[in-house]
Amino acid sequence: MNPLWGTIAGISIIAMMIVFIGTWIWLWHAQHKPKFDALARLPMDEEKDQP
Amino acid sequence: MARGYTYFEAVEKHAGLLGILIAIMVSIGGLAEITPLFMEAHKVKPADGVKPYDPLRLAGKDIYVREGCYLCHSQMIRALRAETQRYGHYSIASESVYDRPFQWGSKRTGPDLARVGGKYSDEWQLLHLTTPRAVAPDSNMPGYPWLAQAQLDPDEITQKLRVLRLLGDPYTDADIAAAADAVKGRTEMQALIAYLQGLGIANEPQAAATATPAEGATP
Amino acid sequence: MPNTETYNDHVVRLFLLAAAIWGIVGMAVGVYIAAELAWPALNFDIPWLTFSRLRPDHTFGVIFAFGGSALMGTCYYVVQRTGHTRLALPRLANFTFWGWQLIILMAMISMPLGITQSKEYAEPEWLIDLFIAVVWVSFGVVFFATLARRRIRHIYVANWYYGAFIIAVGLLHIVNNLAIPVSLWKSYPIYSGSVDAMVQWWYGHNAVAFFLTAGFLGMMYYFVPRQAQQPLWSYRFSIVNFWALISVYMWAGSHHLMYTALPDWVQSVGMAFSLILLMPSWGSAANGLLTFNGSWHKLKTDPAAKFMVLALVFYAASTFEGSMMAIKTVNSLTHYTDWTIAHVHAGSIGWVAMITIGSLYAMAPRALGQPAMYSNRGMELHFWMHTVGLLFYVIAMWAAGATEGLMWRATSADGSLTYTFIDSLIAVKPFYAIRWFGGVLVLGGMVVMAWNLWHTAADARAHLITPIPVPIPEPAPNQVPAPLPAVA
Repeated sequence: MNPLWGTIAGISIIAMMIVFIGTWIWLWHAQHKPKFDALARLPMDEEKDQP
Repeated sequence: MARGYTYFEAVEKHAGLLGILIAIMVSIGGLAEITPLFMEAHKVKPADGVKPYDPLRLAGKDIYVREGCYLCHSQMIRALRAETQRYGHYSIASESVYDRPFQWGSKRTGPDLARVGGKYSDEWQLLHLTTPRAVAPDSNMPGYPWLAQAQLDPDEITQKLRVLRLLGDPYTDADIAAAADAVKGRTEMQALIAYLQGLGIANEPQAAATATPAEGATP
Repeated sequence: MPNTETYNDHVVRLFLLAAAIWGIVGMAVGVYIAAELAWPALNFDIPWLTFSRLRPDHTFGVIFAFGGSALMGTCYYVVQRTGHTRLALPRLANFTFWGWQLIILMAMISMPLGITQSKEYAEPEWLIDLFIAVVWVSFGVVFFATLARRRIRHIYVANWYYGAFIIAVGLLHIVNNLAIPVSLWKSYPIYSGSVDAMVQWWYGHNAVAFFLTAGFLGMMYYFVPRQAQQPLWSYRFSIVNFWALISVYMWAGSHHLMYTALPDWVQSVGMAFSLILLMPSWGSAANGLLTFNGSWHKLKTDPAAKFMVLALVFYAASTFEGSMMAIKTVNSLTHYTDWTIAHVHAGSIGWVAMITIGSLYAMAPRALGQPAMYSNRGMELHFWMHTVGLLFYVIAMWAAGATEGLMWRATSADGSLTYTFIDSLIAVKPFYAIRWFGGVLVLGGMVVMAWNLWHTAADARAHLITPIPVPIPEPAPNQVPAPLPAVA
């Protein structure tokens, strides 16, 4: 196969790795914890407003 | 990092953006695998002796599809020693270039049929398809007696050949003109037997037939 | 009171009813065809009753009719609750219900008549495929339009999974079913041979990924925290798992074609990604199970929670099994055997059906205006019938698959094959009977569930239900978007 494919594959793998690791860092940044904690409770809302 | 934060948050808060990103992510894998195959498919030449199905065998193949034979019989001999010993030379891509849809199957409740052609007589096939347990007492295959009563439709086969030519299979005008006569007065059973008896016969790679597969030989 | 907005649970109830009925129909067909394999006289030489004609009705019936109805119903329920909004486009939502039921009827009548494309899990012919595309796009429009008018800024993760399920299944369906019609009842696909095989298993594998995994994970991410009465164990982890799962799954389809005429590199890529796939799969399973931390006592009293926990255990187990079966040497033993059937049913009876049943038991009382299900003992009975049936089924098929795999490859001292093909069939026939028995138990459990739902729905049948108001946090006059009228 064309060697260009290998280069494209390599670059996209590195790009994906960066996005993946970046997502982890972003998610575990302490500043966002309260927001995620609130979101995690969303399914439990339903019982509160039970008639 | 504050900016990275905004970028990701945009995904979380905008349904449209989320949808587009999902579509991109799920497309990559499929495209990466199927596009090269598609390009290579143009290079795959039919193996020597592989011709588009003649009208009777084509009708038989469509009956094979209609009755759901693929649910219990594969047509794909894997490159493993036990398989080639049992069924013959392993299947190669160029053998199935005219199979629309492919009939490789996924489960063997019955044996593989990729090279079943010529292994049994027409009479045996007829009896086996009508009353399987008359010839194989322990078989759990259903009988298909209704095939012997149903006549093939000559108009339909002409239309089928036209569609297949449209898709790129090399049928000539003469082939299409002669198709109706080739199936006239024949039963579905005759067509199915003709199809089965042709499987793997014309297209078995001759020279390498006894060669050991490259890998995967099992102890 | 300017706030007149209530949740649209009408269409949810319709899908709930459809799921209960199709569950019984799809599994009853499964039990019958399982019996045909063990006792072939049951084919009766009747064309439409013959195993090979009937099997697509089982797969379509349980995946698209039962699973599809449950997914669409819970999706409409969850997107309203997690967005604090009424379902958008109620007429279109009703159309998705009736359209989907019409598709199911057309497919399940036409396939036993021999009208089939012979592509597994995509058997219905081109005309039905067009209807499916129309209804599916409508479903997507209702879902995303509802998301667009939500009152909670962040999109809850369950909706991500439902969104991925809708988008990916639409894409898969269209690409795999491209065909040129010969007549109203017959078409030829534009692909042939190995390309067709690759497209089909890209579809077949990802139908599992996005229909049977992503969709049901959406269900899991809402109903598990709700039933456990605990916040999701790690919301952040669920986001990582989401992106990893949807980007990795699509690569793994070629593991269905190991050692075939497909090019080697495609097989190797499929194997590698199948192993990577284990990470996000176990990530989601762990997230669900750990959400129960602190609520394990609920398992003693709450059958819905029991269904959910066991569903997650089977999800973890069958994704592990799947990754192992994608290893080429393992695959050479298990492929084409009943081990595949064992794997599929550990995933479908174990994961898919159990998370669905658990979620339906959690959702039904709420959607039907009751404090709880009609019979707790009914749910308990269902749980045990389902679990025991599942174990009978899966263990019998594992044993059958291993027997077949080993007998097919056994060679004698002189190098010849030890067994004929029919020897292996004779050896597994007892397992086929045991499998049938397991199926009967699972089917019986579904009948118990339908009975239970029927009694829980007494008020709904008498039109006594008061719609549930949408909680609106902001000062009511300024609410954005403006409330939808209560009656469509």
